[in-house]
Amino acid sequence: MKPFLSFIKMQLNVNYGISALKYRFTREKEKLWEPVLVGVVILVSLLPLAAMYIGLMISMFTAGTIIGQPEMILTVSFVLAQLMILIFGLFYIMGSFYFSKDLETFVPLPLKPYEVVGGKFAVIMVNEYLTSVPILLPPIIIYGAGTGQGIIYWLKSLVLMVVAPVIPLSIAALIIVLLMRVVNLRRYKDLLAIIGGLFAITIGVGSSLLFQNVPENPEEIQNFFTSQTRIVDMIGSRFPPSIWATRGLADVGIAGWGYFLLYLAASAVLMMLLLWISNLVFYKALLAGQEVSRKRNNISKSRISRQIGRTQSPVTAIAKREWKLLMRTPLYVLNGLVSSMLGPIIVAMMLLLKNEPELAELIGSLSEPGIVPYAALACLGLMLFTSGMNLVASTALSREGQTIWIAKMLPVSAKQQVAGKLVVSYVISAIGVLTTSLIMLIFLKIPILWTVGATIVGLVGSVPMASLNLLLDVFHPKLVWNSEQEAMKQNINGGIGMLISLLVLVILGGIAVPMTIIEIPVQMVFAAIGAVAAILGVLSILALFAVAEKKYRDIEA
Amino acid sequence: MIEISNISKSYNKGAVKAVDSLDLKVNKGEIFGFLGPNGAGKTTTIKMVVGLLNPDSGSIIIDGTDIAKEPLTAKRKMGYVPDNPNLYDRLTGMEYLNFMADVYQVSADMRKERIEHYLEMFNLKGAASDLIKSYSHGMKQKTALTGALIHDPRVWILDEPMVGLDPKSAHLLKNQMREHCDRGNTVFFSTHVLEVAEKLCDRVGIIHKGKLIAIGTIDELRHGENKGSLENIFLELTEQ
Repeated sequence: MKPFLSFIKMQLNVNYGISALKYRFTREKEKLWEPVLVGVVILVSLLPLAAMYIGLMISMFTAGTIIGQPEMILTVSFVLAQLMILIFGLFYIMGSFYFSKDLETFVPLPLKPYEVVGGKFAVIMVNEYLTSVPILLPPIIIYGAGTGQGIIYWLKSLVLMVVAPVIPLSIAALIIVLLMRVVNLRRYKDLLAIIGGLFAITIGVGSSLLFQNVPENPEEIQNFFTSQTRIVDMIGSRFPPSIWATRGLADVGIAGWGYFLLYLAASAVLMMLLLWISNLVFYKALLAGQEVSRKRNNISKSRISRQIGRTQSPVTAIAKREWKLLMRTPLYVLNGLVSSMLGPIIVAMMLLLKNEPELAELIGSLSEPGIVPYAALACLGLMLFTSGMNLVASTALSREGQTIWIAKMLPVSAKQQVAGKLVVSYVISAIGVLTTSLIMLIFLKIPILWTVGATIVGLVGSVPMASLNLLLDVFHPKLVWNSEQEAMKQNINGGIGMLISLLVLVILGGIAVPMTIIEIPVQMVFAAIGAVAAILGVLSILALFAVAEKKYRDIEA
Repeated sequence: MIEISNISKSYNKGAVKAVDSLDLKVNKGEIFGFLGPNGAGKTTTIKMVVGLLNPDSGSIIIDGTDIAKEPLTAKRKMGYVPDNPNLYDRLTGMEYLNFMADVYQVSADMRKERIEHYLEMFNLKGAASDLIKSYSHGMKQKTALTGALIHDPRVWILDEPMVGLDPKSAHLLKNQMREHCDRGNTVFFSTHVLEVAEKLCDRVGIIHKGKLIAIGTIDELRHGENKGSLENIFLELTEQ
């Protein structure tokens, strides 16, 4: 048992960087603001969603009380939490059990397969609390306070919250462990990453569309939930643990304890089953996946000569390298190219899905001569927003990670190196702008001349956004990371970069709004925005080059 | 060819002195071996020489160019391979070599000749079209070497170049190092393998706790207080 426990301890330490945090708190106190700022940014950005969720749960509780089923919110929240854990768990488990780099270190250790699986499972479970606790806590508090529950309820709910991820995560792990024994999914790692990312985006878009369909006045809310009760019951009956958890909390006396213990027992049994099966098959699938045969044939001289290219300028060479590395990394494609096109595509989807007559009328009116200029102006806003919401520029230097030594060794000035990066970042932003133009033309039916005008200003406006984002990353790159995820998504520069883009948007909007109010022709407004954006663009590129020269020198590899 | 004057480098705000007032001169046509126990300051010194780390004080001149004052000119004159080269995993070997040739502005004819020469020598032809992430450590090492030498630099700076190379490649690399220096160029490399240093180097320097504690030809080191093999000399010097 001792090696198992110390393995779990080590896994938690490594995954949450506990030793690294200790080091930071004791040795590098000047860098303490970073994690604090990240925490604050995350909390603030989640506040609206939390408020919406809590509001929804309160309405549901009220509706449930009226129809005599106040505990409905518990069932709903357990179903929701467990479903989310199950879905995300599939991807977490796949990554952690079969794709993570540390496996090569663990396999030769004298640990049993179930111990390795158990350790990794523990880490994912702690990760899943980030999903499950925010979903479960509000309904538990609303129900507990609303029905005046005693201490036993609160204690039981604490236990259930701790245990909540076990059942769905064990099921996810069993599915993956057994699936991997049959098919070697390791070959499709990149494909899986893309599927996972698109899946997460679909859930995001889907849930926001769902929230849109929730009625607004109290009476309708009640009717809505009353009509949905059957659905909840149905889902609950397909996934009985959520009913057991609900009954375990809501029922009094022996029945309540019975369901509560049933839930715990089911968790324990599934967990044991997972460990037992893993012990039998985990290493077999893992090791089978590593036997990749590769046939390296000597290729002919002429083929080699064909691959040897002509001499290109250093900036072109760097831009081409950046483009290839970006487009060959699924995670970067998702957070770069896909997220750059996502804004306009979501708008298009919402327009298509929300089949309301008023909307059709609104779209129709956009192409009326008096409205067109303002519609084009609004689309310009969307273009600039879209162009600023990708993480390509704000992580351009960070992504070099451990290969930064090459950048430092190249006989190419920092100015040229960032110029190459700027070209690629700009192209990605420009794709966002052009996607919006297509939507303007196709869905909103804005005349082509106005679309072209907005597109040109949008393309100019993307320059300061991309160069300021890049400047930020050059100023403060995150070069130490272990996964592409950390380099891009868990990089504070991404969030700050978006704020910078918003700031540029606010500045340009600050010019447009007063000009529009005093009824200056919209053509003039476009020209003014374009001119200011161009000046901002030139200034930010000059600043970028100046900062790069100094910062590249200071970076130590 | 390489003049290191009084360089120092410390970490943790001066708490750990990795390199302490180091003076070293490597001459034209010389293979210089840089030896020392783990953590002695070899890699830190090399990284300062190639410009990856900024020294706290002192200066480094590469073939007449001060790396701090004219870094780009100095970098064009040298080729460097780290002990554990992290390359762009998602480029193919050939794409990496073409990229290096572009940034060093190597002409099409020259790059063709050199890429073919090194791929042949290191037996990498079959792997050149594969992504670097599929390479073994040794293959990455060879690709990094090819990339570093593609512009035919006068000064080679190699950190533990033999680690990860198979015996044949190591042998060929040693021959190349010798030929390069015989043409009046310079090779500066660190190693733990004392036999390699003994057989290959014109001179060696031993660094210990950030200070250069011995420098000279193997014979010169033998003639001092220390007798016997380089291993004995090394052990005696670094145990003090």
